[in-house]
Amino acid sequence: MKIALCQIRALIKLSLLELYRRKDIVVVLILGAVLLLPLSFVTPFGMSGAGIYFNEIALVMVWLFSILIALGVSSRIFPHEFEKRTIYALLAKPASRSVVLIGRYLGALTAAISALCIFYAAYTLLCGCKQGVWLSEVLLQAFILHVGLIAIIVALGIMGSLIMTSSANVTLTLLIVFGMLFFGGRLPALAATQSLFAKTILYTANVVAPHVEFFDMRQRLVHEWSAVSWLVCAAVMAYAVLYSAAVLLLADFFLRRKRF
Amino acid sequence: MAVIQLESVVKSFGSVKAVNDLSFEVGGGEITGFLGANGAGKTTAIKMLLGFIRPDSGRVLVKGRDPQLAETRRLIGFMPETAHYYPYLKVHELLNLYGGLCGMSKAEIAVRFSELIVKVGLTGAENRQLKTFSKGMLQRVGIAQALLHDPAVYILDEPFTGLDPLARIQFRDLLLAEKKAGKTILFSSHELSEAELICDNVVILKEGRAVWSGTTAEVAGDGTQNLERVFLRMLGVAHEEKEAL
Amino acid sequence: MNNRPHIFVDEYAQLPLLLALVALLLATAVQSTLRLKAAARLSGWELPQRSADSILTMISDDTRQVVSQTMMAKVDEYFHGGVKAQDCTMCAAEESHHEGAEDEHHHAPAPQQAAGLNPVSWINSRIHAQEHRHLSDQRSVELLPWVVAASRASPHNIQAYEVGSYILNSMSEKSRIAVDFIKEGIKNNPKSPELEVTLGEICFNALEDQPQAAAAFERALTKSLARTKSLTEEELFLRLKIYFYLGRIAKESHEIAKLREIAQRAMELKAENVMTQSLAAWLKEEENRKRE
Repeated sequence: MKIALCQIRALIKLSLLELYRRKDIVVVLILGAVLLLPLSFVTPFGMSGAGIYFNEIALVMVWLFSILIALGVSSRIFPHEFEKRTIYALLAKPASRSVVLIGRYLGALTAAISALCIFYAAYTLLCGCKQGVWLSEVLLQAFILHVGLIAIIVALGIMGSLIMTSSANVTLTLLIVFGMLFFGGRLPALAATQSLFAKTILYTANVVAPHVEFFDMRQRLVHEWSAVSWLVCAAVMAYAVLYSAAVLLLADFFLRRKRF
Repeated sequence: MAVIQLESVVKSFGSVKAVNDLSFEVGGGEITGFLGANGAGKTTAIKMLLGFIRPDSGRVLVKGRDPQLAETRRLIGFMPETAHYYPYLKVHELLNLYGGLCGMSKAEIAVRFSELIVKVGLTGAENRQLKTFSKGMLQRVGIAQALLHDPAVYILDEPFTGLDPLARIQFRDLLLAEKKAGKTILFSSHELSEAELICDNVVILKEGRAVWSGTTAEVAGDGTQNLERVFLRMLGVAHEEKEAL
Repeated sequence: MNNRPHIFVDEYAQLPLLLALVALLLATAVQSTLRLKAAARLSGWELPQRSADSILTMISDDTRQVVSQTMMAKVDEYFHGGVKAQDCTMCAAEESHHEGAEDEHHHAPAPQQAAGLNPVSWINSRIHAQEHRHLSDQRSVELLPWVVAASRASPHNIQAYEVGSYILNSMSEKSRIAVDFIKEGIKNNPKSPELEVTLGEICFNALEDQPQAAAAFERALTKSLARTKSLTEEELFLRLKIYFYLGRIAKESHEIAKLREIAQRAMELKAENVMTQSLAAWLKEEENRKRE
């Protein structure tokens, strides 16, 4: 167990070093700054005090960039290993495929979460300076739930990378994530009004597809609603953990069958 | 006692029989050259020795153990054919990674790192990212990571590729020193001259089967033979034809 | 060694990411259009179909209109604290709640009937606010960036100018700015009587500038008469409103003949309407006053 933890720790460090040395996150932060800074000076009709729009746009960018980073990191791990054949040196070591999978997953997750921390810090700083609202319970909950979402996306990215090409994986995952974000909450209601065949498909999608909308606290954060019950947060995070675990089990199955 | 054993191993990929009833052994403290034309089955055999793939039938053992088990691979130091590593890591970070995967502590890795950097001739390049390394330097990195955890068995796939003449001599000396220290070495190569210089034994593969195995003394025979002639004879290419080419 | 310049996202992901972003925009536009169509059915206005010289112009105009209306949907969303109409558990049950509602009040959420035993709905109902809430007048400035964006996205979005001027005039008490904004809308939409009516209302009610108000209502009437031969319910209501204000101005300046003419026209349109009845009452009042 101790050796497995040591192995996983080594793999986590690999992902972190790769993310920061590739400088993706720097590019993203610069892009964000270039887009947001001019927006922060908008005074419609010469009237100051409008801040919610800025919060919302900033938060949308945090979401978009964090999802892209998470998916970018996770979807290229194994394809690059297979393409560059670094997988041989890796699997020749006394680490099982499951340990390699868990280690790479946790590494990608740690890398994505560290990027997320930077994004949220930047968001808090920008919005705090503009509106004078800094840390709050809702912000903390939003961050925690966002971490849960990232865990699911990283798991999906890794699992997808084992069964399809990188481009197909990224496209499909993004479609699923954004599709569920916009329409996921309406699936049960929609299914109830459909024919048997469509109903079956929709109910299956309701169960199988990740309910990304559970993790979306932007409305509460931007429009200054109160925080949700911590019990609900715990339930949603439990869902994230279980869903990610299920996806990783599937990924492990595919990795074990992979022929090099 | 044989350290590496392959007994009647068969492996097919669809209709292609990559390894066809392959049997050979490598004794402890010996250097064995694993030779064959392209597509002879060398890489497939090596993958089975490393546990990447399972044989369809037959037995593959390393020190009496199944290489599919992670613990068995602790005994093996593998150098892959293509010297590709993580381009954004530095040498010490890469060795930290592989050392961590072998369960080594940071102190152990640090000690081995300082030894190996000198041994493989990478002094001065420790803090550069691997993407700045030449092919030969990456090959040296490959040697270092194979030796890092001081395994009992080395399996090296085309270790001389990309090395300049000086590096080849140094690497040859390194392998001979490791052999003296009791390590068992199996390497595949197209460099027959190198194999002839350092190998104790040679196994020649053709169409997934060992067509010749013996000591390098047996190769020399009455002094008129060399490894190249034996190799070509085993592969069914007459020496006169080869000269005409 | 690979000496290619490092790019932000490797080549594997660029094209599918672009495709995914396009899909996202389309999904947003589709969702917004569906929502807007539903809202349009409720409120009786249609997405404008603009004629154009070329198909490309038509497509780009309609695209800009969709984007503009998506932004107007944001205004509505912001006014209701980020809660979309279809998510509001109170809205369907109490549609009349908007009339005379106080600003920024809360209501206890309706019992979670919509959630039922469905875990997805249960969690969504707790994560996403579904209570009914209005933005206070003091914070109405929060709506303006989207109003500006909507008017810039499509200068032909009349609703953007109407809503924007309402926000500026009634909520933020910036009537002069509202007038400037409406005038910009009129300049971009010279055939629209609605904007003239809005201008007239602001001038009459907020600025108490009757000459400018009268001029605006006259222009509105001309545009309305020129616009359509057959009267829809909305057009009828608009005309009655114009007559109402013109009649009011005529009453205050004691122009009985004009008031009579206006009342007559209103009677021909819809005698039982409350605005027509007000005109009739004012006419009677003026006639009595004159007799005295």
